[in-house]
Amino acid sequence: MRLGLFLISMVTLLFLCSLLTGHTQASVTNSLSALISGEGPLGTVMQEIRLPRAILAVLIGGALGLSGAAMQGYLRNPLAEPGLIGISGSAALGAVLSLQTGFAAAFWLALPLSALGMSVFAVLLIMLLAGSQGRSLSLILAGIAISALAGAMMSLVLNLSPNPYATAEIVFWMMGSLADRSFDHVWLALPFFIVGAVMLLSIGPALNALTLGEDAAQTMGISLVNTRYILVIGVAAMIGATTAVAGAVGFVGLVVPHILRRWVNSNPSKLLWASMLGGAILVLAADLLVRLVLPDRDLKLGVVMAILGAPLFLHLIYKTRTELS
Amino acid sequence: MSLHNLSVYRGDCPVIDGVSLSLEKGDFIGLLGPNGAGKTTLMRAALGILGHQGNSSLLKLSKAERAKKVAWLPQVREIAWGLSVRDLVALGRLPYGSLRENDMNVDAAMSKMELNAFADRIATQLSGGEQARVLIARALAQDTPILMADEPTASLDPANQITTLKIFSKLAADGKGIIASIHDLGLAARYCTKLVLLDKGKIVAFGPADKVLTPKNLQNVFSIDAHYEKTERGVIFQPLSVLQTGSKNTAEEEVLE
Repeated sequence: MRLGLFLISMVTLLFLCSLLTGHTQASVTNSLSALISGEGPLGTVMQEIRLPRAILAVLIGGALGLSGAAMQGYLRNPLAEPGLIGISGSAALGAVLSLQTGFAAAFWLALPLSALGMSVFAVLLIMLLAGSQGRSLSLILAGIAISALAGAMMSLVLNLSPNPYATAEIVFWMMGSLADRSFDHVWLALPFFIVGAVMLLSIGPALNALTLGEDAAQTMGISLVNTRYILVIGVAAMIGATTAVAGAVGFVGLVVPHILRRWVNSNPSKLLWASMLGGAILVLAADLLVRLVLPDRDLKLGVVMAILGAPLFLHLIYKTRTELS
Repeated sequence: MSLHNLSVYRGDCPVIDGVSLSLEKGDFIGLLGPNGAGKTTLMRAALGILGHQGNSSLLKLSKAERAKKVAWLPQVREIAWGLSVRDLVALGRLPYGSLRENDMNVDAAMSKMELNAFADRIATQLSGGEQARVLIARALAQDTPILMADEPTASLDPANQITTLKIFSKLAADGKGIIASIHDLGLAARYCTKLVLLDKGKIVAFGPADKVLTPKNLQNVFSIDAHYEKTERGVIFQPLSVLQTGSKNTAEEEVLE
């Protein structure tokens, strides 16, 4: 409970910082009143640039953290992450294809929509490949196969790219960013986020039961097949939408549950809530860094995340290595 | 609980072949048989974890009702996360909806398995024997009239083996029905009320220890001979030697010589 309050106040604080950070310098009171009134150039900046950016940081961080905690809980493995079932790879492939073919330039949401379309296709493929038994191993194997295929297809697209500009655009897109996003992106991602969050938060008790293994969980009234359907569709909705609007942002889904696990006494269902808030905190903070460290160089969120995330992860492994062994 | 003509096929080959069995209140049935006889398969089929033919009375219930009727203790002692012992035992209350603080059933299960001193310890850091007790307590917290356990005494020291089986036999005496697969025939003979001898997916013998652990059954199913004696301190059963049965074994030995 206290952890919840702490996380929520951190999200609020960073959300405000995010609103107050950017190219245009203005005082706190001026910025906030412009945000509410929407008047003048500052009002436009606040309402149409910074507000959607901050909201997307919360949504994307929440989606990555929650999906990561759900995947780790379901697979009972602290190394699991949302990318494991191939959704982020497939969504990225959809986006890359739309950039390559020029479809992305056709209209505003062409790129995110092709990314979402490809992740729906990946979900159907995973369900087909993973069989109806509800065991987790077949899900991992199907996910690895689909990730590998999506990765290979992306390399092929880059390989056959007609000009270096298209290649550069694709490479930069894949690094992940929240810059220059609008409310269109928020409205696109929000429904998927809500559906995914409701689904993933609902499997908390099943994840608790799975602590004792798949056999024991089944005899405690848990349906493994239903749990897996909810997990895959929930993760796909959240990660598909995330990748569609922000590109590939790694490490959040892996690191956040890992950091917070000790704070919820390793309880997998409480970790879902905590990781959703924790993910929002981490992405808000990283997106602030992106704007503060090198404001003129358009530093990419995914890059900062990996630079922050990897040493953090190493530190955690160092600290918990006795528990892990 | 009753099983009627239960069969499990792996491909065309029956792993469980038309088994019928009933479990009453107060029974502590020891499921015996060599490796691969189908002990685990039989219990998992009865619980509905494995696809099968025939009837298990448990499967007439919905999944949620079944979770209040039978608790299952798998052989693999899986504890994925470092939960505290108390939280882990409390997982047994999942079939009853949201967990409450200070649940009576959790406390009762913990004291039955003498875990009160361990309540705040991290379950994954306990020794194998202690983890086994924690997981049994979890199954007890589920508060079901039936308990099924797959080799609950495997890899426990003698004191823990005896303690575990004594607890099971006391639970049965208090009105539960228990089925457990057990490899130690001597312990099974001492603590179970009935034994079921399974071989190649079929029940070979069923009844009290002296009717099941006969020299003929031991020879046919386990290829051993054993000492069996009723004493003042209960049944004493000790396997003595492996019998050479099939002609194939002797042929191989001749070649070696």
